[in-house]
Amino acid sequence: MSAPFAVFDFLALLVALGALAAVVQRDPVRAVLALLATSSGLAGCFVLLGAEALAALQWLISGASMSVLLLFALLSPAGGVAGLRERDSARLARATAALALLAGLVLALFRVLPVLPASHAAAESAGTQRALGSALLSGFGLPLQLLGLLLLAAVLAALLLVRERGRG
Amino acid sequence: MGPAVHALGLSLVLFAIGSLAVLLRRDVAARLIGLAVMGQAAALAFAAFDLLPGALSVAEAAQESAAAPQSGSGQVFAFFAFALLAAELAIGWALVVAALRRAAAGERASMARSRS
Repeated sequence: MSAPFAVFDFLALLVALGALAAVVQRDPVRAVLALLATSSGLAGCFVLLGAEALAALQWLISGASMSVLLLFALLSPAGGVAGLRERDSARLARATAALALLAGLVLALFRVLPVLPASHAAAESAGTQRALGSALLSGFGLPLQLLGLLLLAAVLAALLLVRERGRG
Repeated sequence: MGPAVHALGLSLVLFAIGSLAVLLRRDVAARLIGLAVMGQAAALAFAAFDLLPGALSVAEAAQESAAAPQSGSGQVFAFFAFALLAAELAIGWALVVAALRRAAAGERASMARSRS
């Protein structure tokens, strides 16, 4: 096994353990910190895959969102977020669906992996900001504009949702 | 096997962890974190598919331009996945804040009723 593969596998292990810790933890602060470790490891994976622009995006988005999440977890009253539990008692059905989904994914992995061709090295500068920006603006102009509209709508909707009633 | 296969395996593991969290956990916060993990897994899968030499793209397109595959389009889709994830998390956490506020208001009202 070559060195980049070993580094990638180490980062993959870190990412998987971080994700597992993030979803298992009951303390919101620890969960957010585990998610931050996951995002950091994933940014390293993107760098090893030759997608430096995506790694930078991952850092920017995860850094911003994780700091907001951390603030939220620190400021929320004890048991506040954890106290928001759904009242659905049909956990057996959900567990069955989860196990079926997991089994399907594992089966799909074992069906797909043998037929995948050997990867070629990413073209030089394919993952840089310049390449990503030119690809976005040349071939994906309309989806990019629609994405901007969607993000604007999401921000406005979030502001409307958290606005206190009666204070305008 | 190349790095794309390793990345796809990691993406599968992350997606499974996220989906299990969404389906099994009862905390809203844990479910949102599971959604974030699933979105990151999708972005990683897009970036990994970008490394494959056109094997999973449309067959005719691969025949026509086998020498020049659409390198970078997977990363564009990963970019879109990140943006959608940000929008989804903004709405999700706003809903959590609104629900917390509503629960606190209900608690205050019930305390006021019990005093009077």
